[in-house]
This record gives sequence, structure tokens and C-alpha cells, in this order.
Amino acid sequence: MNWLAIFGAGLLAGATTCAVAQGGLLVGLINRQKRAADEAGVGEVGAGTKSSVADDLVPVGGFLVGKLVILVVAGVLLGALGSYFALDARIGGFAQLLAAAVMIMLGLGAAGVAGFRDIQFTPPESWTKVVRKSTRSQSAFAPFLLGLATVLIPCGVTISIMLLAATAGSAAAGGAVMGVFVLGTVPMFAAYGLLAQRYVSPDNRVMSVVLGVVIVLMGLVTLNASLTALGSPVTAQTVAASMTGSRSAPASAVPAPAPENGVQVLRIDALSGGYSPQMISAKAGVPTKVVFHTDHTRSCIVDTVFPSLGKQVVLPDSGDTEIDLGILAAGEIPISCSMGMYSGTITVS
Amino acid sequence: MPQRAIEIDIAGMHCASCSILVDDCVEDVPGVLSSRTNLKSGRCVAVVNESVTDDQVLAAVVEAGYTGLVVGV
Repeated sequence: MNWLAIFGAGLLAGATTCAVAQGGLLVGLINRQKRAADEAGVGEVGAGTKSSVADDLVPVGGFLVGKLVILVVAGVLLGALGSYFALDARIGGFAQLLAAAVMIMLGLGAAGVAGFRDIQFTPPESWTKVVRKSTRSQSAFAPFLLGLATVLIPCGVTISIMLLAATAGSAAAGGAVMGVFVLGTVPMFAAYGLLAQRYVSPDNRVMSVVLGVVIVLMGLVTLNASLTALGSPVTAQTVAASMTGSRSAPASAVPAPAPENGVQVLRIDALSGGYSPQMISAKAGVPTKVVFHTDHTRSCIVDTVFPSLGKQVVLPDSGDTEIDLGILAAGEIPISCSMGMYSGTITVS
Repeated sequence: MPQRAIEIDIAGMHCASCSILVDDCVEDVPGVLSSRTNLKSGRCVAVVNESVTDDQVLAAVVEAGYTGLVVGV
């Protein structure tokens, strides 16, 4: 997971998307509460509607905490849902493929590409009423509640990040994706919404285009992960390997081991960061087993699939797990984690 | 007090937050009774007292960060 890219997307989103409009809603809420306090004579003598930045830190902080809490919760739920679907590698792969397609379309929309920019999520009126009620509330908790309510009115970019959370591989990773994104929006949100003390148009074309490109790139990475999980022969890795010729070089793959009692045993370390070796050779026509060695492995690699063989195995975080592949025919057998983030290949010849 | 409806085409909205912000700002104008902005059509319909001018409502739209054009009264 590229956390820097997610934070960067948040940083750009804070100045260009729904975050800006939501900043406007918060500014309106704060101003209404100040006016009501002045009219009720609650404010100190001579305080008027003037206030320091420090006075606004509390409602702005409350709003951001509310938004962070609700979107992290949403990310946890989406991550859990995504990892549930990934229990079946094929369903998980197709769900990822769908998510990638939507992300790419929303990214193109954010960048202003004709034919995509009108793709918008329109929430039901009952949801927008909840948001509008929050902006008119005089409660001290109103900014926090408004922050919570923003989950009901996500823009295309936020929806893209939600899809990314759904394909993150676990509930914790999904929550982290949304958390990093929201934290990324904070600096610009503070600069525009808090310091400017006014409404700012979210119509910033340059930043929108850059943000759209970032979202499209994230969509392409997700697309590649889905192709990997589905065992597609065409992925970024295979294309890059064929372009550099690394796949055809015999030295790039670990040689086939000598059979033990008539069975060739391929030993592969399944570590948190990937398979080692990533490419291993095997002899065709020989009974074959793979032994995955895990050592405190904590990533989606513990859910490993052989898409072309229709085999899937859940590995322990530490230990050796043996899988019987039977007698293999010549060809390439891709190995992948269920989310398509890590891949390897057994070359049978 | 007599009332009337003002219809405004709004440019620059991207998401539901934008349409809610427009309604929020328009309803802050004294004499505006209600505002409903449709994101898909980009149109805001404000019901106002007769004393409220088109320019006052348009100014609220601009304050929200968007541009508007009165298309129906």
C-alpha cells in the first residue's frame, strides 16, 4: 500500500473537493453559532462576532475528529467486507476489478475529462437533511456531528479512497487507508477553512487535474492487483519482465530442486513483503509439492492462491505449510496473495 | 407577505456537499424561506419574500464559491 500517495491524495483533496465545500458548511455553522451567541448576549462584553483562530480550533478540531472517526470506521467495515470477498480469490479478484474500473472513472471525472465529469454520487434527500440539520444546530457538539454526517455525502474522490480501503486486504488496513486520507486533508482544510474564515470555491482546476491523475493511478494499481489475483497472463509485472527479457533468462528463476523420494519440493518463503524466491523452476511430469515458510508474516500474503490451479491456502503467521500440486504440465503457474499485491511464478518445463 | 420563487443555474458544483453549501448560504439571506439545489441539474430554487432581490440571492451563491445565473422568477 502506497501510504504516501494516499496522504498526497488527501492533501490535494483538502483543497479541491468535497473537503472544501464541507469546510464551507463548517464555517457557516461556526458563524451561525457566533451570531446566536451574540444575540443571546452570551458573549463577553465587546466580543462581538470577532474571534481568534484559537476560538475556532475547537469546532474545527471537533469536525475533523468526527470526520476521522466515521471514515476510519467506514474503512474498517469496507476492509473487512473486501477481505471477506477475497476468501474466494476469484470473487475477490472480480470485485477488485470492478472497484478499479470505478476508481479510474471517478479519477477521470475529477480530472475533468469529458464524459466522466458528470459522474456524481447523489445521496438520498433524507441523508442530505441530516447534514443540513447539523449545520443549523446550536449544540456544542454540532461540529463533531457535522464531521460524522459527512460520510453521507462523499464526493467521487472520497468514494475512490473508500474502494481502495475495500481492497486493502484487511479491516485494519482499510481503516488505516481512510485515516491517512483524512489526515492528508487536514493541512489544506485548516488553511482554507480555518485561516481564510470564508467560503472558498473548490473549483481549482490544476489541483483537480493532479488529484484526478493520482486517483487514476491508484485505480490502475488496483486493476493490476486484480489481474494478478485472477492469474491473468497480462499484468504490469509480466509486461515489464517481457520488455526487459528477465523472464526468459534462465538465471532469473531458482532452478528446479532434485526430487526427494520421487517428489520435487519447491520451498518458498512467504514473507510480509512478498514471495522469496519470486520465480522458481520445476520439472514437468514429476509429482510436485510446495512448502510455504512463514515467519511472523502479517500481510495478505497469508491468503495465497494459485489462480490457474484453483487452489487457495491460508498460511499460519509462522511455520511451514505443504501444498500438493500433483503432476504439473509445462507452463507457468502464477502464485499470488488473494488481493493481488504480491506475486510469484513457478515455471514448469 | 407575498412570496416568489427564484431559479438559478449554478456552475462549479462537484458533489452533494456543494449543493448543500449553496442551500446553506442562500438560506442565510434574511427573507429567504427555503432553498433546494439539485446537483444533477445544477439548479437552485429559492422561495423568498417579495422584498428579497435576485442580486441578494446571487450574492449568496457567489459567497459560497460558485457562479450563478437567474433563469426564472
